[in-house]
Amino acid sequence: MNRTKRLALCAVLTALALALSYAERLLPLGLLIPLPGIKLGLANVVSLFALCFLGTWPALWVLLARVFLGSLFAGNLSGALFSLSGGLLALACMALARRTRLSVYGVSVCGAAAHNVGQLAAAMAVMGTAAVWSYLPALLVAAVGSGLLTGAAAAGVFRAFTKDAQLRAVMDWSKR
Amino acid sequence: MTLPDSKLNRRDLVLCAAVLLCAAAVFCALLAAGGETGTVAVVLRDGTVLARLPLDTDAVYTVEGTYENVIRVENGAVRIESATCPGEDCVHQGAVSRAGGSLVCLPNRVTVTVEGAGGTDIVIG
Repeated sequence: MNRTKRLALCAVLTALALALSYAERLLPLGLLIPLPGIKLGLANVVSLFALCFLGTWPALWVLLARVFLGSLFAGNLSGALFSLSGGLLALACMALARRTRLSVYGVSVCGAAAHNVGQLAAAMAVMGTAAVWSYLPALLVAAVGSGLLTGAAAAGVFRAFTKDAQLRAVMDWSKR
Repeated sequence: MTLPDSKLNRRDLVLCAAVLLCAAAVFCALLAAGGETGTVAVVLRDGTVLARLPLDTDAVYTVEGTYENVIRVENGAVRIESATCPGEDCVHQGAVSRAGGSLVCLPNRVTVTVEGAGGTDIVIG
């Protein structure tokens, strides 16, 4: 793909990921499941898309830009540590999972579970205690639910991109 | 470029089941580790022990920091009674009394861990 086109697409994806993670904060998910650290993780759809359509490195740059800008907007850098460790582990696991015969749903669940494990690892580092791991069961159960939901969103996007001729052109760029 | 299939297949369900099994296994391990009644609540901030509160004596302990957590020991259990942090997730966690149980306040980087008579009970997931 042309470098300019790729840069533009990465920028659009970063903006989309930021908008999605902001938009999902409007969902009162905390009322439904009163546990800290539970969210839908729609930004993971962007990671998954970048990973499959652009490759591992562009996906990493989009992730880093999203975490940096997101924490800048939110105004706290300790939040960046949690998003970064979660996001990096999620990306790594999804990069491995997409080489298996799992569908978009399975890859998405892998990403969600890895994201939560990464966040707990960061929490353990910040708090200096292993007690935070008692949250792991609840977070893993939540990851299956949110992973399947964001997987459904990603599956819709993927289906559209393989059917629509104009959208498929985006994919054809990435082959060059 | 090969894309992952966009239809849910059997392998995905096996993966979901495996993740849920992992969750159940960790949960059971934590239950087994935390079976005995706790004797002391250890208050940590940034990994430093601030206080050790015996559970058989009613007490109130306030942690100052970025925010403020009021920790109350009552009837052999410990809970965070009030907090000035935005989410107050720690308050919603309720009371813990068993060894291995814990309360966590991420914004203030405070944890309260209940230990049993056997001394330090480190719970690893």
